[in-house]
Parts: sequence; structure tokens; C-alpha cells
Amino acid sequence: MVENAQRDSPQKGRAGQAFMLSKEHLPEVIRLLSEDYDVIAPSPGDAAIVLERIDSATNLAINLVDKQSPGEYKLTRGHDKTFLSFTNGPESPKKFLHPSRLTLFSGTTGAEGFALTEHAVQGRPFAFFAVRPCDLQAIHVLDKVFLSSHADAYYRRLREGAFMLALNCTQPGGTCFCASMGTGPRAERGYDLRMTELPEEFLLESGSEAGASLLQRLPIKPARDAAVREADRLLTAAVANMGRTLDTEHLPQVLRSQLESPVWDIMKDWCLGCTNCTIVCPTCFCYNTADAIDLKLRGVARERFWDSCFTWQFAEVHGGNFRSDLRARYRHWLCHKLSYWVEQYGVFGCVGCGRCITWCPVKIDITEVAKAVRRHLT
Amino acid sequence: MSNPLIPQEAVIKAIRTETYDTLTFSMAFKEESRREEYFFKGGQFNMVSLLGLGEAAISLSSDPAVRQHFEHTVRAVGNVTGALSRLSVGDVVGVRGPYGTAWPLDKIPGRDVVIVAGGIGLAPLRPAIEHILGNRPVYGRVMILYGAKTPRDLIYTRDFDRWSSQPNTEVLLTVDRVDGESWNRHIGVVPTLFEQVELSPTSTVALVCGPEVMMRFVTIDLLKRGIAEENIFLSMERRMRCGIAQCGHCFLGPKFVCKDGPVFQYTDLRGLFERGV
Repeated sequence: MVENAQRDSPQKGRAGQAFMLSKEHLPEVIRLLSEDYDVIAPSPGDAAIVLERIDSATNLAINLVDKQSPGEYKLTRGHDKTFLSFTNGPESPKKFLHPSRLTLFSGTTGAEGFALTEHAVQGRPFAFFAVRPCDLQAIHVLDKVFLSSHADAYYRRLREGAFMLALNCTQPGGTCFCASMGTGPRAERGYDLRMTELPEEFLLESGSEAGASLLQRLPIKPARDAAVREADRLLTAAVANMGRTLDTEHLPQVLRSQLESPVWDIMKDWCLGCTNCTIVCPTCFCYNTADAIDLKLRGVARERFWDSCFTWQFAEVHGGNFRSDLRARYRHWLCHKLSYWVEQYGVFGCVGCGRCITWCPVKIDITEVAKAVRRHLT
Repeated sequence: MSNPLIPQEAVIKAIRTETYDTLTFSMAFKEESRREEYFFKGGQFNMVSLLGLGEAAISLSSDPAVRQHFEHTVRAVGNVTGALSRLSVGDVVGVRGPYGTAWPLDKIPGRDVVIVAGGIGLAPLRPAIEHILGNRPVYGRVMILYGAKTPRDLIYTRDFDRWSSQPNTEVLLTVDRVDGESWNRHIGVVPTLFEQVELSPTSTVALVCGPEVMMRFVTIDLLKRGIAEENIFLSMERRMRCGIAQCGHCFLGPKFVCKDGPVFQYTDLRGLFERGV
């Protein structure tokens, strides 16, 4: 339904060819998208780039550069000529497709029974502007979680008809490792339009009919061969410039065989259980639910909200807790991302975006922990 | 497409007292079409809602062949289960389900069945017991090994005589301790009941449900007695919020207990449930 045949079929017409858009026309892309979509784009937040609904290019984060390393994120002004040279901020498309709080249903209840109405998810479809290849893969991963046998009605509606304008990453960040996870730095699938920023212009290629029809409305020119080659060169260089690497060979099996690794004992004392990593992770999907009822005990609603496997209560049942210490909780999270997920969905739960590394207050680096488990094979 | 997260109205038809803290609720969907289409297999569970309070995963504990109603045996220990215990006949609760895997009863004709339960762990096994006894000639010898903390914690006591009066069917009871009650049966944890039975290693299938620590020891005993790993089935407990493999609460390593379980073949859990994942 979401991975529609159209996107996977051989590209037609102008699709697949590369075009150039001069940088002053970038606002036109947002203007055209705004006609049909709620445009979600990187915007300048207080101290970090965030994802917001924007209605014009004036709200777009441009000319900003971020510096990311374990536990650190710093935003500075960049060159006037490079518009989108920052990498991902803490937020991902998950914020919109799997909102942190969502009403499932509401209605009335009483002794004689209840009447409930599904909460309708309103609004036009989303267009994700400058979504990075890692986040594109994260959406693919979330699709597997929420659109499997019991499709989630809310995710499905928020996801349906979404336009993906992918931005290839020519300047990976200090905590990025998408090249290791095979998810970037070039968007390979699932995009409607992908763009690569070059010094003087944007290189655009469509990946769907929706992308091709947007292209046709833009003041584009066929790309010069030199520009295509330059984009290839930048993306090849980006692979070598990743801030982090992770050896994924047999990693799911290695982790599965190392559930008693001494590394988990170290993590027990290092990890704070603060849940930052699960909040910024573009694929962490776990949720909890809670009911609300009015003072007349009649009006009722059920909400769901993000939960985190790092919280103490997460696996608590009457009379016990299946993961009562941080050794078990950290192990569960890392093994889920890099091992269990492959068994469950055929893909890694980690897309290599590096957010969990940047936003960890005690600088825990998932790539280093996975390496350490390999080093201390028991 | 109907939304699987929205509960439907079910009416409490009868309430039976099992113990000082445990009740069995007999329920039926209010809507006739739902009542008619609903069926479950032993081992599965429902998500039961008390709107305004929340939802809990509760195993089905009645004979699946009885289609007019279904039963939930509930110990009043949580928010939802505590409030449920204060309801009366005629009250309406929210129900969605059934979810999860079932005991492999259609795959084990002719086999001896040893049913091992601890505490309220007998509840999800009761549909299996009723199914087997309702189809008695299909199965071999049936041994029900059941234990609880004290005699007053045993549930379904009224069923024991009916069960053990069936041909080739034994009910062996134990309690961890006696607090002044009269008790002339075995005393000791559930695995000690194995000393009283002779299992045929090649023909026996084990169905087990109880506290996880009990299940670990029972599994060790079963393996020691030569029961093959693939003939041991365990019903696992986890916190559950959605029942449809999306909220992540019930993970047991890579397994969704709500979807891949709650009934697992031991071979699927080996190396996992012993490690507290």
C-alpha cells in the first residue's frame, strides 16, 4: 500500500534523468509542495534544527552548520552559498507519522455500556522536505512495524500519500554511520524526488510519477554531465567521511550469542536510563496507552504516547519486572536495534543516523558498544 | 477496515468466586453478530478494558467449544483487574481479541499430555483441559500437575473431581505451604510433583503455565525426564498494551509474546527466557 508499485517500477518519462535547479528557486519547490501537502522541513529551533510544518522557505533552516559528536550538538552559521549543509537534528519524521501523543478514540461510557468513535486523523498528506536517506529508511522500517498484519489505522492515514523529497548527504555528521548500515548517503529508494546540493545548484532526480510531475512545474534545466559527476564524487567522498563506522557482518548472530557479554555489566553502570536515545531514534516505536475520563465519569478517551524500554516500568508485571536493571534494559535496546529487529522484520532497526550518540548525555556510542561486544566474545 | 485498537462492548453474564482474590467472569459480546463470529482457541487472550481506567491482557479460560460466552479468571492485583473485581453481573466491559497463539491440541492426537500449572497459570490451561476431556478418546493419558502457594490459592477446585473422574486422567495437587488449613495432599513446589508420576518420554507432550521461575525449573525437570524440547509448550507472561505487536511492551528477546506467543514451543525460547531478556 505504501511501497506502491509505482515507486518500485522502472522509472518513466523524465524520471531517473538528472536536472538542475538554481539555488534561488528553492522557495519555489516549497511553494509548489505547499499547494498539495503539509510541508515538513528542517527549521531553526532554539539551539538545534527541528522539524516543523512550514508554509514558505522563510521558515527553512538554511546557512546553518551543525557540529555533532558523542553527547554534543552545536549549531553555527555556515556559508551563504551552501543552503543545506547541516545534518539531522534530534527530530525525525517519526514526530509526524507516529506522533508522541495521539488520541486513539473517545466517547461516552456508563453502566449500560459505551459508545466510542475512532479519533480521525485530519489533514493533508505530508511532504517531507530534505528528508535524509537514513530517515527515509527509518520510514521504511516503521512501515514494517505499523502496516503489517494488524495495520495501524492512525499511522496508515498519516503515512498515506506522503511525498518524500530526499536530500542526499554530501557532508555527513560526526556521529553518522549510514554507509555502514547501507542506508545512505545516497537515497536509493522510497523517494519521490531526490536532490543533491552542489556548490552552485541542486541536482534533482525523480523517483516516482509524483516526483516527475513536480519536476515539470519547476524551472529546471537538464543537468550537465559535469554536475552529475560532481554529485557522484561528493557522495563517494561522503562515504569515507562518515563520523562513525559499524561492522555489521554477522552482527545479529554475534549479539544473539553474547547475551552474557561482560560489556552489558559495564553499560549497567554507564547508561542513565534517561530515554533520550529512544526519543530521538527515528525507528523506536514503543508506546504506552492511558485512559482519561471526565469528572462525571462519562466522557472517556484513550491516548497513546511514546514509551521507552529504558524506563523501569516498561517490562513490569504484577510480582516482578522482566528487565529490572539497566544491564537488561540497555542490552534489550541495543540487541533489538542490531539483532532482534532483523529476525522480526528482515531489516536492522538502526539506520545509522547517529542521533542516539549525539543526544546521549553520557556519550554512549552504539557503534563502540557493538564493537566492544565483538572484542570480548565469550 | 475495522480498527483493532477499539474495544467492543461485552456484558458480564455471571461471576464465580475462585479464591479470596480471584474471580471468574463469564462474558458475552453485546452485539449479536460479534457474538456469533467470535471464537478462540485455548491459550489465547483478550484485551479487556474498563474505560477510563485502562486495559489489561487476560487469558481466556473457558471451554472454546462453548460459543455463547467466554470466561476470564482474574486476580485482583492491578488497576484494571482490581476494578474489574468490583463489577457486577450486567455491567459492561470493553473487549478486543482474541490474540496470540494457542496450545497445539490439534497437532497432538494420541499423545500423553502432562499439564503443569502454578497459581493462576491454570487459567489459560483450562480451555486445553476442557478441550481434551471433551474429546477424551483423541488423547492418551492426561496428567494435571497443579500447585499454588497455599490451599486457599488454588483455583477451579470445583472442577478437580470432574477432571480426575475421566478415564486415564489424574489430577495431582501441591501447595508450597499450609497456613493452618486442612490439607492431606502433597506439600512442595510444583516440580516436586514429578516425583509422583512416570512420564513416557517419547509419547508425552507438556503444556506449562505459571510464574517464569517455576517454568524454568519445570522445563529442566521435563528435559531431565527425557521429554524432547519440541514437545514442551510454555505460556509466557509479559506486560502488554496493544496485543497486536506494535507497542513493544511484551518483547521477550526478539519475540512478541502477544503475536509469536503467549504459547511457545520451548525450542523458540531456548537461550532467551533463562536470560531475563
